[in-house]
Amino acid sequence: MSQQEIPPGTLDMLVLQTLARSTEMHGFEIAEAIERVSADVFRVEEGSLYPALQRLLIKGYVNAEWGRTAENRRARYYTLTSAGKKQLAVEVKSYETATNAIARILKPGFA
Amino acid sequence: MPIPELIRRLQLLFNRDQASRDLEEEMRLHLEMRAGQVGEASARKRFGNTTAMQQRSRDAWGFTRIDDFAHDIRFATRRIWKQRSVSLTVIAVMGIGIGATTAMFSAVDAALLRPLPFEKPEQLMVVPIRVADESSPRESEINFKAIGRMPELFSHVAAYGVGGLNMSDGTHAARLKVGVVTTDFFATLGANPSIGRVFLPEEGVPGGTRVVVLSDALWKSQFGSKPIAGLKISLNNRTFDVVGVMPPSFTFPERSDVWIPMSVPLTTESFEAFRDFVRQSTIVRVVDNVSVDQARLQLLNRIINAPGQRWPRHLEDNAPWIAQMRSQGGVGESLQTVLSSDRKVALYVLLGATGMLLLIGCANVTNLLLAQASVRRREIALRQVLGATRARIVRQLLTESVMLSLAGAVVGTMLALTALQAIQTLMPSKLLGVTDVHVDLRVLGFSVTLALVAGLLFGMWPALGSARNSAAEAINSGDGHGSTAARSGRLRRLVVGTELALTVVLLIGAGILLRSFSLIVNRETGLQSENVGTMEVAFPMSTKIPDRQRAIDAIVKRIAAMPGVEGAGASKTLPLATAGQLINSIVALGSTEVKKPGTRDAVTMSEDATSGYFTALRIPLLEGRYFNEGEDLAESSSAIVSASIAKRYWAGQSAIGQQFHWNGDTSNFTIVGVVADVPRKLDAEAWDQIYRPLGGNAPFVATIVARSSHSATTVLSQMQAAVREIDPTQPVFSLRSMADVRDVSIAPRRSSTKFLTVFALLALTLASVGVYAVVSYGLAQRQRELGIRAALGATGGNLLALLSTEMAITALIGVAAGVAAAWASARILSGLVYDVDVRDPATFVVVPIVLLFAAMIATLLPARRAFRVNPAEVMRAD
Repeated sequence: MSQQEIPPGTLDMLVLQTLARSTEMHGFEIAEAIERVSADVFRVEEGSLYPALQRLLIKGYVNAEWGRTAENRRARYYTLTSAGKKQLAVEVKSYETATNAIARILKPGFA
Repeated sequence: MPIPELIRRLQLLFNRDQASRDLEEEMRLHLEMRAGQVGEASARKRFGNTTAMQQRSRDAWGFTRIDDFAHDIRFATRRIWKQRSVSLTVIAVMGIGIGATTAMFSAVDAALLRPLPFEKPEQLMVVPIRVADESSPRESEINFKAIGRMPELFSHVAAYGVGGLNMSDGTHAARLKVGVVTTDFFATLGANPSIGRVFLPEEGVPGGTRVVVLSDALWKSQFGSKPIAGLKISLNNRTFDVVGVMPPSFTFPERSDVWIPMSVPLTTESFEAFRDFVRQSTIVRVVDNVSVDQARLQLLNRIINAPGQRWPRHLEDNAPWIAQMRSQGGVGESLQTVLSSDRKVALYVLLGATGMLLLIGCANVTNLLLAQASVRRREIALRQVLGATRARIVRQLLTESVMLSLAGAVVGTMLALTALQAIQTLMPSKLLGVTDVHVDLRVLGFSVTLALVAGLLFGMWPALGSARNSAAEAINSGDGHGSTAARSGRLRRLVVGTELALTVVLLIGAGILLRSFSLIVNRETGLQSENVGTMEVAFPMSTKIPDRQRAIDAIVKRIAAMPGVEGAGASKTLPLATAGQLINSIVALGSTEVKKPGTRDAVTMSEDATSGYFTALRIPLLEGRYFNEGEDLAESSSAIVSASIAKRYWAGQSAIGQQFHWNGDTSNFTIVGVVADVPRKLDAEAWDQIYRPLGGNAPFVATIVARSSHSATTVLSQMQAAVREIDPTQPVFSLRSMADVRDVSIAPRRSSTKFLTVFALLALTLASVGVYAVVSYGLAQRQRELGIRAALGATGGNLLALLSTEMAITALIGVAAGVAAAWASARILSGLVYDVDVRDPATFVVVPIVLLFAAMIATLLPARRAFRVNPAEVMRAD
C-alpha cells in the first residue's frame, strides 16, 4: 500500500498525540512514531514537520531541550506541556465532530 | 496574541542567529538518520529543498513581515542616498506643503477643534441676556435671576464683562484689564483658584465688600508672590482686599489681570468706572443629561410661552425674531462657537488653501518620480525576473516615497515652529489667553498622518506604473526612449495641468482678498487719521461732573496751546476702536420716514464730544455748526447727528432745528449740526450716530484727541506733557496714534490676506517649476524622436513650436479649469470680503493672464534647447 500524505491541518494534532504517549522525542523519532503507529499509512513530509514543530514551540504547546541520543549525538528533544495537552483535547474533539458529520453525510440513504 | 507567546517570539527575535543554527543542526541529524534507513540519495530526495524548508520553519516564527519591512527600509535608504538631488527636491517640496498645512492646522486646532480648557466645556453656553441695572430705563429687561430659576436646564449661571481700571501703588499707575464677574463665574467654568478663594455670594450684591481675585501674572509681577493674607490693591482710588489667586493658565476673559465681583443688579457705583457700560456676556452650564442643542430649543420655548415674565422688548412679540431663532434651533450658542466665530471662515479657507498647496507639491513630486521611474525601468525589470512579485516592488517603491514624505514632514514641522508667532495673529481675539497656538501631539500626529497620506498619494502612480511594465520589454527597449515615452509625457502634462488649475484657484482667492483689503485700508472714513494722537484719562469715583468738566477742559486747552497743534478735543470713545457707546433707538419728531411694517427701529449710537473733537479728527460739517464753548462746558439739549440720520428721518428737509428724544425717555434734543458718517469699523456700514455735548456728561474715563502739523509721535508726547503740567498725579493711558488704532481694527483681515497671498505665491512658484521640469524632461526623453524630425528637415524653430504647443494646450486647459472652479466656489470667500464682488471681474481676468505668462516663460526656457538637437548625435547615442 503506498503511503498517503497526512490530511491537511491534522499534523499538529498527530504530533501532539505522539508526544502525549511518550515522555520526550526528537524530530526523527516523532516522524518514525507517526509512520509506525499509523501502520505506515502516513508518511511524514519532512518539509512540514519542522515548521509544525516551530509553530507548536512558539505557541507553548511543546517544550524543547537539547540532549544526547543513544549514539551520543546532539539532538533536540520535545515534550508536551500542559497547555499542549489541553490543546490536544480541543483538536481531537473538533476532529471527532468533523468526522462524525462527514460520516453522517456519507451514510447511504442520506437525503 | 497572548503574552507568553509574544515573549517567546521576542526571544526568538533576539536569538535569531542561534535559533537558525539550532534548526540547521536539528535537520542535519534528521537527514542523517533517514539516510541511515533508506540511503543518502533517497533521504535527500525526501527532504527536498533544505534551504526552502529551513526558510519555512523560520517563517513559522512570524518575522517575515518585519524582515521584509526592515529590508524595504534599508533598500529605500540606499536608493534615496544614491539619488540625492532628486530626494532633496522632494523633501524640500514636501517640507513646504506639509509645513504650511501643519501650521494652519495648529491654528484651526487651537481655535476651533480643541475643547476649551474648562471643565466639561461642551456644557457651556452663551445666552443673550444681561444683568439688569437699577437705573436702566428699560424695565422689561430680562432678569438675570430668571435664568437661575431653571434648574432643570442649567446648573450654573454667570455673567462676565471686560473693563479697565487704574491701579496705583503710590509711585506709579498702571492700567489693568479687569474681568467683572458674578460670584458664580469661576464655579460655572469649573476653575479653581491656586491660592485662597473666589467670590462669596454676599460679595456680589450692591454695596458688597470690595474684594479681588488676582491673576497669577499680576500676583508675581506686582506683589512678588507674597502671601495674600492682608494684601490690598487700589483700583481707581478704591481699595480692594485680595482674597485669591488664579492658576497661571487661567486668564479668561481676554487676558484679565484681576477679577472683581459684578453686583446683581448692577448699580451706578459698580459700572460707572467702565464708561457706564460693561460689555456683558452671560454663560450658563447645562445640566448633565441635557445637551446644548436641547437647552437652546427649551429656552426659546420658555421665552415664547412665558406668562408674566419680563423679557427684553426685542424678544417679546417679535415674530420675525422668533422665526429666525427657530430656524437656528433655539436661543443661545455654545461657548466655543461664540469665542471662535469671528475667525472661523478665515481659518477654514486658509486651511483649504494649504491643502491645495500640498496637492500642488504632491503633483510636482509625482512628476519627478514618474520621470525617475522610466530611468529605473531596467533595474526594476531585473528584480522582477529574479522573483520579486509586483506587490513587493510596489511596496518597496512606496516605502521610498513615504520615507521621503516623512523627512519632508520633519522639515515642514520645523518650519511651522518658526512661524508660530505669525500664526498666532490668526487666532480669534476672544480666545487669546484662553488657548494659544502651539505644536502639540495632536498637531504632530496630524503632520505624520499627512506625510503618510501624501507619500502614498504621490508615490502610488509611479510605483504602479513601474511594476506594470513587462520585464522583457523593459530590458529590451533600453531606457524608455521609445513609444512609451509619449504616453508618459501625456501623463506628466496632465499632472501639470492639474497643478495649474489649483494654482489659479489660489491666486484668484488671494487676489480677491487683496483687493478687498486695499479698498478697506483706503476707505474714506469720514475722518482723517494721520498725525492724530489719542489718549485716555480716568478720574476717581469721588469727583463730580463739574470737576471733571473743568479738568478735561483745562487739559484740552493746554494741549491746543502747544506749538504745532492744529486742534484738540475730548470725547467718550474713539471711532474704529472697540465699543463703549450707548445704544438705543430714537423717536424723531416731525420725521418724514416711511417705515416698512414689521421692521425694527434703527439702532442709534450715542457719543459725547466737544467741538474740538470734530476739528481734531477733521470730521466734515455738512450743515449747521459744531458745538460751541458753552455747550462744551455745561449741560445742554443740543445735538449733532450724522448724515445717515438726517437722511433717514428728515429726507428732503433740513435737519437743523429738528428735535428727537430717546425711546423711553422724554427730554428732547435739538439738532444744531449734521456731520459726515463715520463708521465704527472699517469693514462695516456706518451706523446712525448722534453726538451730545461732553459738557454736562463728563465721563469718568475720557478720550482726548489732538492733531499736529508735525507727526503723531510729537503730539502724543505733547499731550502727556500737558496733563503732567496740570496735574502730575493724573494717570494717562492708551496712548496711541489714530493710525495705529486704525491698523489694529483691520489687523485680523490683514493677517488673513497676508497668509493667503504667501500661499498663492508659493503655489505659483511650484507650478512654474513643475511646468519647467515637464518640458525639460520631455525634451530629454524624446531626443530620438526629435532627432528624427530634425533629420527629416525640421528646424530648431519647428521643434520649439512642437514642444511649446503641447504645453500651451495643457496650460490653457488647466487655467480654464481653474477659473471655472474658482467661479463656482467663489461664494466661500463672501464672509471674508467687504465691498468687493467675490467674482470680481478684474481679478478673474488678470490672474489667468499672469499664470499663462509664467507658464510660457517656464516652457520657453528649457525648450530653447530644442535648437541644439543634433540628429547625428542622437542616432549614435542609443
